[in-house]
Formats: sequence, structure tokens, C-alpha cells
Amino acid sequence: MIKALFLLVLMHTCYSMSSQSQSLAFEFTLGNQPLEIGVKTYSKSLKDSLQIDAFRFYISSVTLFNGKDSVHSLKQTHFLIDAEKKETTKLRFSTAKEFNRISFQIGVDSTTNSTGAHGGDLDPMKGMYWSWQSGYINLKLEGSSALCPTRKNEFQFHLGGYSYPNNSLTEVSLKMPKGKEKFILIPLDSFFKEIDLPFLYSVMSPGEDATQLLKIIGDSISSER
Amino acid sequence: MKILISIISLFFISFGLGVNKESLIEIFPADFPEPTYDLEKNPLSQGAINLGRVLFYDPILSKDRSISCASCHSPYNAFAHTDHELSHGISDLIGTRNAPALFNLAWQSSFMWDGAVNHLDVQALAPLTSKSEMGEELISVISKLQNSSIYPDLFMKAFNDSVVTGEHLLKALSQFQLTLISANSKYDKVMRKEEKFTAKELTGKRLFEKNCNTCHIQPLFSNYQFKKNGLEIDSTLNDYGKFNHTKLAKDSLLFKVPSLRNLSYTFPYMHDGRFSTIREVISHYTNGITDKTAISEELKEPISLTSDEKTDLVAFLLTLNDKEFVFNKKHHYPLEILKIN
Ligand code: HEC
Ligand code: HEC
Repeated sequence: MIKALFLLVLMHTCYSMSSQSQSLAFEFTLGNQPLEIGVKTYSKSLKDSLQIDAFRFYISSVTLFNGKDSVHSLKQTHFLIDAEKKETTKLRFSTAKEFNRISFQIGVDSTTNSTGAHGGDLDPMKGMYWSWQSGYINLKLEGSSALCPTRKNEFQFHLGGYSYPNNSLTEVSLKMPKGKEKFILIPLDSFFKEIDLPFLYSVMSPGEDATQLLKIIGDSISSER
Repeated sequence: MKILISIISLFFISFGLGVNKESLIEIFPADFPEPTYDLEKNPLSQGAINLGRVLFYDPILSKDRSISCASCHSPYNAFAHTDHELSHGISDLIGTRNAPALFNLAWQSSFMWDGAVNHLDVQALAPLTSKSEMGEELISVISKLQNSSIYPDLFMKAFNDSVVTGEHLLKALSQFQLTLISANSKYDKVMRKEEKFTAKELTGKRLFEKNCNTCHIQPLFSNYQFKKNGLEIDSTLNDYGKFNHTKLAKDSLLFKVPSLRNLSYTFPYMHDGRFSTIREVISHYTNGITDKTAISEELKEPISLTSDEKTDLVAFLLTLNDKEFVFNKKHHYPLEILKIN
């Protein structure tokens, strides 16, 4: 039995040696600087000072491609990325395969949305679940800007929706440069450039707006720093 | 090594199956259809059922510790609420709907009068976090439970983990509620050939099958679909049912077809509790439907019943009362569990 155990350990070591541990880091910017939660920041391109108080979202089904062939899928299917918690912004995995493209979804798929309570990053205690109507909030973006005609100039975007006609799950596919550390960049300036804050400052339920706003964020993502 | 692993897993598998099978047989009646709740994702165990039952009766779930699930879903009312038309939450904020009875939930695939909730597990999030109900955020409920003297142990017994999580809290509540099965009414006993209907009940059954069985389908007495049964909108509430969350015109005024079991315990009736007697409900179906365009297909043919026929129909509906269910101690306040702990 001890022999068998030894063999098992040995096999495992060999296997891990051939595959390479890699990481995928999410980075966020506002006004061409790294995003700081809770800090008012001037954006030249927006000609506005904004403060972001929360930026959280789900990433699911992360898959690596080499050309057209999928070569590896991350075992954990859903990750909750929180710009305020550094440890959540880096996905680690190991693979021996080469890859030059990556695909994932922003949000939680409809099957997961309709199969009851889940744990880990999907636990409703993470605060990313609507209560009066079933469904995960795919992305939360909250903060303030002088442009918002609201109390304390606040804006609030809770974006989600998993069923027809408001399925907001957003596909992202990115070319990946070579290198052990890879980045996925979300520039919030591009998001705010696309929306009209004086008129659109609160989206709190599934619908066309939520789906559209998630698409805008999806389109702004790149892998180049 | 391999053999050892196989033996261990065999032990676990057979043990797991044993628990499942036993509880399946115990709780799901043979003459009911297949339940829709997927027990593989939340296998029933006595530990988790007990935990769910303690939680259901504990006001610790509400912000000011004044109200529990059972405050609105009383066991003696087949887990409905009879005092008020519209259920009361903390600080006397009045909810906008009549608290429905809770039983045979394993056969439902959507919840609430308008179907806004898609799974039993996540239903409890609505009363736990909606301001007009229990007014409590999930994360603070969890820390209250973690710091209590009884819950870490109950979670340990239920899930082999004393750390309280949202997932386990919700799954335990589901487990207790899944055991709320009503299948021992006179109707069920007649179907199992243990008892016989009276002549009036039998006439009532025929009238029921002619007029009502398209939506209130036997043996659950609901198809659990969403229909318009011709209720005029109450302009003080403006509740459009399923439309409220789908925003699709075709869903306007659609409400979930409720089961007709245990009606003697669950008055008042309808989503807003507008009728207080079964006879009033029947009169609604015979004379109360004014707008023929605002009803579902199944009710397009007018229903006409003589006074005697109404009495017979009521007699049949009363055979759906399940006293054994309502007075089943296993569903009541969990005194014996709390004593052990
Ligand atoms: C303040 C009163 C109140 C409290 C407290 C309350 N409920 Fe309810 N419950 C309601 C009302 C009202 C509805 C119907 C809501 C609707 O249709 O929008 C409901 C619906 C439900 C349903 C759906 C039933 C169906 O057939 O669709 C379940 C299950 C349920 N409650 C379980 C619970 C549990 C578990 C708790 C405790 C965590 C709880 N309730 C606490 C009033 C309450
Ligand atoms: C078109 C489908 C349909 C048909 C046919 C139908 N019902 Fe209903 N019934 C409903 C719906 C939907 C509700 C809930 C409506 C609401 O609350 O807005 C309901 C509610 C009820 C209730 C109230 C139950 C409760 O717990 O609140 C009773 C009692 C009832 N129906 C009896 C009958 C009887 C008796 C018949 C035959 C004469 C009948 N129904 C025919 C759809 C139907």
C-alpha cells in the first residue's frame, strides 16, 4: 500500500512538473490610472470626477484556445471578481498547453441560475443575488459623479437577467500575447463614455438596459496594457 | 490502496443511497407524480430537516427578532396565514399579498403568486431581505447564527460543517419544507380505496371534474401554471401578477393556480385574500366574472351551478382537508429538538 501511495505521489509530481502554473490578472483603470475604490478620480477623457464605491462581477467558463482548438478549461466554473479585494482579481491555473486566445463569460449562466442554492463564490451571502426575484446579479458598479441628478450624486448599476428576452450573459473572447503572466484590462472610462450619466444612473433589474450595459463593458475589455 | 478506496467509497455510496431511498419512500406518496425538486442536489437527511425546522420557527431570522417564517406560515393553517388578508411583516409593514399555504412544494417549479422565484432553495431570500417582510440582510443573519449557542452544532449535524453558510441555511429550510406533504385527506383515502365518498361528495367530484379540473388538476389540485381566473383588479393594489416581473403584456393578471387542498385551514382565498368562504369563491366562478376577455381559455365557457350543486361541490372540496397533515407534530414547533440541544 505504501508503495502504491508513493507511486501516486510520484505520478502527481511528474504531472505538475510538465504543466506550468500561470495566472490571469484582472486590472481596472479610471482616468488612465489604476482604479482605487472609494477615491474620487478625475478623468480627462470624460471631463468628470468620479468615485467608484463597488465594482464586482462574475466570470464563468474560462476556456483557453490555441487557434480554433480549445486546449484547457478552468476547473472552477464561476469566479466572483471584486476590484476591492485584490486576492479575487487573479485567477491561477496550470496547463502545459500553449494558448493564444481566451474566452469567458461575464455573468452566471441560466442553468446555474435556476438550480437552487449554490456555495463558494456563488453563495447568495456574497450579496450578488436578487431576493424579490430569482437570479444572480452578474455585475455591480456603484459610485458617484457630479453628473448624476440623484441624492449624493450616486449611480447604481446592478446588472443581470438570465432568461429570454433579457439574458444578459456576455461573451468575451480575447487574443492573448505570450508570457507567463497575462492581463485582462477593464478601462472604466470607456464604459462611462458610452452612457449618459445625467439620464442613466440607476439600473437595478433585468431588462434591455442591463443587457446593453453589460455588452458595453464586455466590448471594452482588452488584453493589452 | 485502491481496494481500500473502493471499500470506503462503496460504504459512502451505499450509506448515501440508504438515507435517500428511505426518505424518498417515507415522504413522497406513491400515487403522486414525480416531484420536480432535484433531491440529488440536496439529499434529504434527518439532520438537515431538523435544522430547517428549527430555523423555520426561529425569529432570529428577522432584524428585531420579532417574526419567524411561522409567524406568517402557521402550521395550524396548513402553513398559510388567516388573521389578515395581507400578511404582516416587521414594524407592521403590510406586505402586498396573502401568505400562501405551504405543502407539496416538491412538485412546484416556480414560487410566489406571480412565479418571481424559480426554485424553493432561493425562495427564503425574499422574506429574509425584502424590507416589508423580515427586513434582515443575509450576511447578518449568518453571523447571528454562527454566534448563537445552538446553531453551529445543528449545522454540524446537518452538513458535517459547523460553519454557517448561505447555501446550507437555504438548503436546510428547503429540506424541512419538502417534508410538508399533504397526502392523507379523505380524498386520498378514497383514491387508495380505504374510504368511500358520500353521494353528495361524489356529485361534487363530478361537478369539479367538469368545471375545475383543467387548472386544479388531481391529485395535487393544481397544474402549478399561471392563469387568469377572472378576478377584477383591486385598484388599491394594482397587482398585475406575473407581468410585474416579466414586463410582458401577455403575462398581465396571470397568477399561479393554487392547490385546493386544506381550504378549511387556509382562508382567506386568492392572492389578495379577497374571499373568505369557499362559497364566495364558487359564486365568483358562476356569477362574478364580468370581463370575458380577461380570463384564460379554460374558463371561457360560463359555469352555471344550482344552489344544491354548489353545496355538493363544497362537500367534495372539504374532502381535500388533510387533518393528519395539519396536526402532524413532526412539522410543529421543534420542542424536542431544542431540548436535546
Ligand atoms: C411577513 C410574512 C411572511 C414571512 C415572515 C414569511 N413569508 Fe413566506 N410568504 C409570504 C407571502 C405574502 C408570500 C407570497 C408572496 C408573493 O406571492 O409575492 C410567501 C410565499 C412563500 C413561499 C412560496 C409558496 C408558493 O406556493 O409559491 C414559500 C415557500 C415561503 N413563503 C416560505 C417562507 C419561509 C421559509 C420563510 C422564513 C424564512 C417565510 N416564508 C417567511 C409571507 C411571509
Ligand atoms: C383557468 C384555470 C382555473 C379554473 C378552470 C379554475 N380555477 Fe380556481 N384558481 C385559478 C387561479 C389562477 C387562482 C388564483 C387566482 C388569484 O389569486 O389571483 C384560483 C384560485 C382558486 C381558489 C382559491 C384558493 C386559495 O388558496 O386562495 C379556489 C378555492 C378555487 N380557485 C376554486 C376553483 C373551483 C371550485 C373551480 C371550478 C368551479 C376553479 N377554481 C376553476 C385558476 C382556475
